[in-house]
Amino acid sequence: MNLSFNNDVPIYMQIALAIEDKVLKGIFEEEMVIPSTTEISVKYKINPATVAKGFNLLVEGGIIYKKRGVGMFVVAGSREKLMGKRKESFYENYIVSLIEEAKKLDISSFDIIEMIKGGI
Amino acid sequence: MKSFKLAKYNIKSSIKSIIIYYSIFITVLISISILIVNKSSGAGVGSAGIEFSSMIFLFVIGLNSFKENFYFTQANNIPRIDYFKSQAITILPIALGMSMLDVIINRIYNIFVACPTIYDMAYGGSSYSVENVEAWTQSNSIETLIGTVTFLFAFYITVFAIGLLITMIFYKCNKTMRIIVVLSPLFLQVILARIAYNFPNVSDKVTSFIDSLLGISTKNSYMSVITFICLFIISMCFVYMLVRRVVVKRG
Amino acid sequence: MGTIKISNVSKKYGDALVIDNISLTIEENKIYGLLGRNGAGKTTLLNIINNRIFADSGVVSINDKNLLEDKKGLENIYFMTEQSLYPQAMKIKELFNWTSEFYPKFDMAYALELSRKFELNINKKIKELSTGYSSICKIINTMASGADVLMFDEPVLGLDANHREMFYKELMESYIENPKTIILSTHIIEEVAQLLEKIIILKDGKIINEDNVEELLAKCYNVSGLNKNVDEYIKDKNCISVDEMASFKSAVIMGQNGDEEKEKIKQLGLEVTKVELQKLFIYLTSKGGRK
Repeated sequence: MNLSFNNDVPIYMQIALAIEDKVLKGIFEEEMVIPSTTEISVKYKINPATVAKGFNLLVEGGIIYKKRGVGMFVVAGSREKLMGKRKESFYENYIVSLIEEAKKLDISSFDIIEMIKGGI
Repeated sequence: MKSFKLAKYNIKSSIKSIIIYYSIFITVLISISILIVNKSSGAGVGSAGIEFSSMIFLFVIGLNSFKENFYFTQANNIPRIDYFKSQAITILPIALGMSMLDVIINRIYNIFVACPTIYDMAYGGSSYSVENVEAWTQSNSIETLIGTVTFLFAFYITVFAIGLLITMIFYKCNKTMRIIVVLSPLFLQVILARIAYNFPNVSDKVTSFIDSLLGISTKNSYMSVITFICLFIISMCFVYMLVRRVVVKRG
Repeated sequence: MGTIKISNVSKKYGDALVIDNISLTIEENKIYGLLGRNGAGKTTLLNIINNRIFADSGVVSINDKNLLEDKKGLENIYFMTEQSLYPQAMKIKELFNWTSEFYPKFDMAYALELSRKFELNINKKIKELSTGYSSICKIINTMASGADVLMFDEPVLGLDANHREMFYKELMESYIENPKTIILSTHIIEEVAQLLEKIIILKDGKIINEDNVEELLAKCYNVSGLNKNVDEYIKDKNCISVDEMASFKSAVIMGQNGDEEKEKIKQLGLEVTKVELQKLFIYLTSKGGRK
């Protein structure tokens, strides 16, 4: 797992987001085990309480669950769930800033649409 | 118990020095024996009071018993009282062992060279006198042996305690105080000499007092054993007072 | 097994008040960072807790027992000092043996394993070690001690980057496997920022901050933009530091960044970023820096 830390988002959140990302991309498959809090804590030198907090977020969100004595697993159907969640916030997270930036640079909506067409 | 473990540590670290000391000591004695025995006219040549070297050795051990040992107890979060107890516990077997060993060495040495111990010179009954050196032979009676061992033991522990006390005083002193401490014996000697000169009765009284404390006139070595043990206890009391507030120096 | 409570402790060295009426509770099984500039009082405070030096006033208690009356609590603390207190002529493996005498829970197998990992030659004498390896030796001794409370004063002095990383990882593993209280007193803040759960910042002998790292970082942010806009924004805020460059200003604020604030920031066209722990520490402890 690749975690590079910036400071804009709390670490525990970054951990949760990174795991969500991997679930979305299919790298962490459903009903498969993911790295434990210990492994992440040691590998990235992060306080275990922080890692646990990130994991708790995911457990509460129904993305992962704990199998006692074995480890943390990805919940079946969580990929779909995440996609839905991310789609909802897609507008807020991406479109809004895109429009803002385009305004700064005097890019017209026509040009934006052309760019998008070219990109996809 | 921590103090015993520390004592074990202290003794273990001193063993090396003790072995080296005795190796040198015995080598020197052997060399002297060979020289003297070979010189067929060994008239009037002898040694005396070789235990003085052990006394100096233990004094030096006392001087070295503070800093490194104390720092080590601090590193292990051991309370100061345990350091103090360990020092008292450590010296007892060492002093006892050395006093017995010194008596044994002395008796063996006496086979080759006549050599009275400090005890013999001070309390040796009528057999030893300065005028009658050649006629003297080492006594091996139980009385003498026990007397010598107890005397040396009490002497050695005192000398160690004084060494420890001095090194602790030094540690706590700043530069000027240290100079004063070092020079104080000199001053003391000058002052005492003056007093002795100007007030002969006072110096007589003091001399007879010391004599009775050490049981010299009465030829009672056990007086000095008691005196030394008291000195040991007093010194260790001062050591304890200093230990209670001592700290590792910064930097 | 070890809540440490410090109540109203003060300490003077000559005329200088090095510890100024500090009160503090160290909770069990958390990783603390004790931060402060040179001379802020970190080492003095740790020394007082471990009964190495005596406070002029105040009480230290371990497990609710006053240190003056009952020193048993100290048996469960291993304090790694910057100064070397070990006999110089002692071999490292002897050191491990003696430490196990005084700390019965000492894990020799672990000590040997760590020595192997750090490539520490345990047949060497303490005096033969370089600065880095001296630190490594002390670190290993501390971690293997089995004590419930570990205190490290400048643990990574002289350690190269690889060894530092190794230390942090081993520390995490050890902490997870056997939860214990850990206090790291260090100047290398950014490297340990993610390891810490709580920090204590000392300045001029006083505690100026005692917080969960996460909460602390959550309530600090940096705004930047045109001078007048920044000035407008910070006028009623708790501003810790201000930086100017031509007509461009940047300020660090401590406070909530709620919706109201976000609105104002947007209005004034300011940019917001989070603050790193080390930067925050520097701002808080600079001369004339505000709380």
